[in-house]
Amino acid sequence: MRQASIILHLWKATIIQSMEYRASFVFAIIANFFDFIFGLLQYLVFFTAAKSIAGWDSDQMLVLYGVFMLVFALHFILLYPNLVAMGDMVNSGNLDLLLTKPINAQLVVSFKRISLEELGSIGTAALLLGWQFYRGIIVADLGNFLLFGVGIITSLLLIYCMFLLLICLAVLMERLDNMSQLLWSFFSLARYPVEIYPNRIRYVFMSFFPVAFIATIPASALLGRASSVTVWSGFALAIVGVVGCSWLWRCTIKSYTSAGG
Amino acid sequence: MFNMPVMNEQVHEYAIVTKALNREFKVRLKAEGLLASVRNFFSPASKTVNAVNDLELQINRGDIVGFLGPNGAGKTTTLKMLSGLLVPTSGSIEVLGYTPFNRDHAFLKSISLVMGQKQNLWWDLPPVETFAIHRQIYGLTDAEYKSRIDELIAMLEIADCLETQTRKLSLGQRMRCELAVSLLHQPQILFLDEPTIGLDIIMQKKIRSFLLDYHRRFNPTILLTSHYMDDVAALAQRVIVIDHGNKVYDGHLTDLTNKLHPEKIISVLLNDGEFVCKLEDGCRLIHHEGQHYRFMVSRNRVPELAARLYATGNIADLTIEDPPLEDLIGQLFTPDSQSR
Repeated sequence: MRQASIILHLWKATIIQSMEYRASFVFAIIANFFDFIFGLLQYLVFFTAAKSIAGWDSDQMLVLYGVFMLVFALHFILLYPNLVAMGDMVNSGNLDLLLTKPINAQLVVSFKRISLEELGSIGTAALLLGWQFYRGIIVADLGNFLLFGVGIITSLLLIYCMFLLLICLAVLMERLDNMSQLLWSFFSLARYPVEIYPNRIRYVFMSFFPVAFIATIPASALLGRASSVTVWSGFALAIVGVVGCSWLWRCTIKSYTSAGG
Repeated sequence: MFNMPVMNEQVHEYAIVTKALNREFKVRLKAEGLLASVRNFFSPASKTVNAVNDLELQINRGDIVGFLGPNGAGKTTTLKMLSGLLVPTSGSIEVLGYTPFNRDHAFLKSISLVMGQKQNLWWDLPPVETFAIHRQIYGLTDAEYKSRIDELIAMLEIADCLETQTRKLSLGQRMRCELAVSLLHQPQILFLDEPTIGLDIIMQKKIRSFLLDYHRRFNPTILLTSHYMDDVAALAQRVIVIDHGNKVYDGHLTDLTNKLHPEKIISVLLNDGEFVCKLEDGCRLIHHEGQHYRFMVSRNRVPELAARLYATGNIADLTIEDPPLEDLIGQLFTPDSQSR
């Protein structure tokens, strides 16, 4: 509870901080809204030339896009600002001060900052999914919704694993620019259904480099076309991943050499 | 289970104990030029540097100890090991009975690390917001927080800068707020790494006077590194000098100055005329301008010479002082001083 309360206070501080620069804050919200619209147009352009892509028709693709944007926005709100700040935190030595505090350093490094600029994208993604539900593309089925919930949690946990791996690299290497680019590449693979990739790559995306679990599997769950075995296997994989990455973080901190001095 | 704080309080009379403490770093080497950079990119060369060598420390609870040494001597590395940031290569450390690098929360609640060049304060927020975050981190109750923060605000005279964004504060105001944040949880051990760096003389004095006052009230153990010898002279009675990771002196500051420089400076301002006395053994003139004279005098001859100068009846002012501490410590690290 104390750790959660600390994180809430840190979030409060970052929200106050981001509101210091009002114009930048408002501009970011507008830019993110247009980013969402342009992404949507991209999908619609595909379907002027084809009725379906790898077995996904335009309505199903919109569900996939809604799920993808939801996950992307959550990552952008919770993790992205912390990833961007990490390199500077290591170089400036401010990680040193953090590590001398009686707190869960992994938790604070991961969630110290929050960015509300993508909050609008969550709203628009929810609207898109709501619209598809209203149109009957998403079937009202409790089992599907449960699998979707598990799928979204899996997706966020896997993104967190990737984030934690990059954070550990930043600490070990003392400098690792463009870490966020790597995560963006990961996302750019996830915005399309894994079925569009050749079989071998699809296998990799379902196992070692689980891109499929970011958006395709949760969207499939909403559409009632995901097997519960796949969803729960992904969840188990994500739990193992988080435990493994947390262990890696602890090892990284033990071998941390600190900046200067 | 082995680190119960109450038990530690009873058992450990020392706040800090280190035995044969070592810390090595791998340092990357690179020769000059583009070709060397390309070669180094594919086959990086490195060497191992011993930042701290077999360091033995025993520091009593409530002591203020100055930690001196030139740049790269291993002072900050030692502080980082003592505060749990770095894991030693070998040797043992006990701070308040805890092994620092285990980073027990009870241990971390008992210490504070203040680094003059790094800050806890959030740059775009007023200090009061950072105080509130630290209150949560250390789990202080409303009453504890209020009484402590009020006391620190009064002692550090920071009431007027609490609600100004940190980025708009002067360096001195920032440092005082930084100290307030670091002391909010009333640590038993305070590690101060260059706390007055970059501050003007007046602010340095304010910080020193605050630290003395704080120590008098709460009696924490303080380990201080500073390049400003006045900080060390004003705060610490005991100094530990390290060079290239090796401890070269551990004892009272006055003993160190006596050992390094068995002389004092007598400055004299005459009423009129010139100084006509014959200089004797153990006394030499080091500066003369108008009616102002400065002599370097053996410590054991100072009382006698001062009395004789007064007896001339031509003295407007006379002061006796130690040579600047910077010069003394500087001597300690010159190659010909190693035999001292």
